[in-house]
Amino acid sequence: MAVMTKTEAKKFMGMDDRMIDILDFLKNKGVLNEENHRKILLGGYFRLVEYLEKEKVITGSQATAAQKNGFDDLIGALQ
Amino acid sequence: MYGWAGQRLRVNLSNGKITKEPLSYEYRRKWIGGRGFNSEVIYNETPPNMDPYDPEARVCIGIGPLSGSAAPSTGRVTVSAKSPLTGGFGDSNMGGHWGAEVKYAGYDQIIIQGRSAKPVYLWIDDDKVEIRDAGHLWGKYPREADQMIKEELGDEDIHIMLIGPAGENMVRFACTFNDVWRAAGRTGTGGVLGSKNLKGIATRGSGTVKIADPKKMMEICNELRQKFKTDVMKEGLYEYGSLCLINVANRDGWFPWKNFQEGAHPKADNMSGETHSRTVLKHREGCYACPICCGRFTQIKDGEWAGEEFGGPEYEHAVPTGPRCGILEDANAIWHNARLTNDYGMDGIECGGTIAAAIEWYEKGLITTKETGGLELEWGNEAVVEKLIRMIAKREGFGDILAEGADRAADRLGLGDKGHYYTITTRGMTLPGDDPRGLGFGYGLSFAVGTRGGCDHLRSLCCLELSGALYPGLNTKLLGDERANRPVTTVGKPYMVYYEENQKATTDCLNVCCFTTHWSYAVQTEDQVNYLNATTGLDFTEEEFQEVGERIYNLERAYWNRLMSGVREDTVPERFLNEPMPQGVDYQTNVGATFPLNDMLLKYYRYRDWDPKTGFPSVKKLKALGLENVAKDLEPLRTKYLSESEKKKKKWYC
Repeated sequence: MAVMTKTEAKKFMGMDDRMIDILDFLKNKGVLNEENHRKILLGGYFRLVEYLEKEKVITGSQATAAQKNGFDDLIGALQ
Repeated sequence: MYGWAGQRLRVNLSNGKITKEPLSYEYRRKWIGGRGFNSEVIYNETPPNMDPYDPEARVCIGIGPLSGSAAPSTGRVTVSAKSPLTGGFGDSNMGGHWGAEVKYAGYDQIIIQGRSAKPVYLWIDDDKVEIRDAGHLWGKYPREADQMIKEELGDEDIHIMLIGPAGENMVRFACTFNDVWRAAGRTGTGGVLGSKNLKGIATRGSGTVKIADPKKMMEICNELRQKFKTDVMKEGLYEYGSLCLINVANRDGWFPWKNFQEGAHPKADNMSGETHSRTVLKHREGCYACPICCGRFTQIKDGEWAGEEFGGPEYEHAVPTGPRCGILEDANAIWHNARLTNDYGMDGIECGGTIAAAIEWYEKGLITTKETGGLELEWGNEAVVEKLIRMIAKREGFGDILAEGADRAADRLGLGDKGHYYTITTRGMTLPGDDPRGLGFGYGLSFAVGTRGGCDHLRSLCCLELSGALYPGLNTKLLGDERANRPVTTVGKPYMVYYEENQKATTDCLNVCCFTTHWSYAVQTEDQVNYLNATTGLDFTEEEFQEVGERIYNLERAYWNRLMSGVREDTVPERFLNEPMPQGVDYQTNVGATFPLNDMLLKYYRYRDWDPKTGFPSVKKLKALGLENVAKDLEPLRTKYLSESEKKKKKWYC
């Protein structure tokens, strides 16, 4: 599911530290609510990927790649 | 009840009153144990403006629900107090076997308050608790007092927590020990116990720890022990102890040569773990239930100090009164100095860091032999450093000034900002021997924001940066970015620090050794929750567990905020901000690096939900963590801090 424009993706790709910005972005887009934003922040990046797959924001194969390769792949999948 | 003993012991040394207080289900669930219990008591029972040596100031000694169980490396004990060194929140933890004994005696926590009229020690024999005379123990080294108490009580198998002569003399960085050599080294809790005239706590426990699901617990523990058999970090720690870091630090440019003037030295191998093992290692020692056995026992075999034996040293124990003071030629002098700080009962980091600062003041002409009482402070002068250690412990002459710690000593000598430039501290506590310009920017950030001042590898524990690369894929799993493995970069570091601080706080609630959970990553959060639940029979989720860590971190932060310590104090020594790492030796990889604090600090605040103008936790965050009382405490202080922020300089300590 495309939740991010190319320009937005480019901005995130250029960041040194992405977690809070991406979680805030997904909350603003309505993908995350306050509660799961908090849970994922506490739990780590892999919890974000698990959540996005469960909510069908990304596919199973995208999730597998994102778990293996990190934000670079996840940002690609969110475009 | 499973896991916990379910009660804490409160001892008032002023009136001799001893009480046992039950710990409710809600309380245990909210704070878990160890550091959690202690931080709660210190916050609520030792007001921030109270003198740390006031009789009513508390010392809390906490263990966790796993203490005394079969879970790996559950021998840690957390000791907490308002720090006489920093004036702020203080705690430190130690290994050994005493913690398990406290659990077997039936307690999860011991709170000491009041002041005895004369030196005493506490004798806990299960539910029988007695305050005994310690006049004959006063002035003794922990190893001497330990033996004397065992003989007096007629039991060689008891375990004892003790302070040394430095604690009795209220040196501001005196330690608390147990099993003679295992030190809760930082923040000066030994001096607080000394101010109460309490020499130690001898303990015999004949009880046990009830495990809710013993079969599952054994399965988990066996699986974890199997992991350790092949764990890469365990191997290094077992073979060489934490001295295994010497050659790594030297290779990567974070070796604190001459008070961090340089990051490497060609002769660092003189004191490496490899050299130590080959030359002076007598045997290895493990703490309670530990599959790693990183502890060393050293025997000096030749030279001036031949025949000396002691437990240790650790990297952070050996480096400060060694290379940090320019001593590296003769490793025996380094081992000897480490033995001395142990016997006197002092934090080697603050002791060596303060001496190193004094040597640099002398080098730069800020002090002369007039201030030092005739001592010529020069780098590498083994005799002078050795003499200063003794003078500090006894508070003699110039040593009495240095016994205040680096920042207070700078003020007592009237050295102003120039003097503080060479005190390598944050919030009044000397940083360990880890230069963030080489070890990593995550470490540097954690030094800036640590809730006990200049933190070390056993506290904020930004080890994803140090050992993350040895666990391929780990930083991707947790942070989403494998590039965070690289130390001298800001990539992923604010989130790494936030994540690790929370994890370390929960690890300290369980009183599990962080060498299993953070240095080594053989035990991860899901494993911790599994063995916590198997032990207690409760149903902690990972999220609830991690939230306890966040709660503790914010509570400790609020303690500092109540002392008007916030964003102004969230910094690192100016040397790291201003001085590019010089060329040391050929293989140094971080030449030219300075530490980019500002690039990371504001992002870190966003993770924490702390106000960037004050550095105070937001009301929303505190309420979400169940800290409504803390939100109320901070409310009037927020505007006060803001109104002062323009005119006030940072506080060196509180």
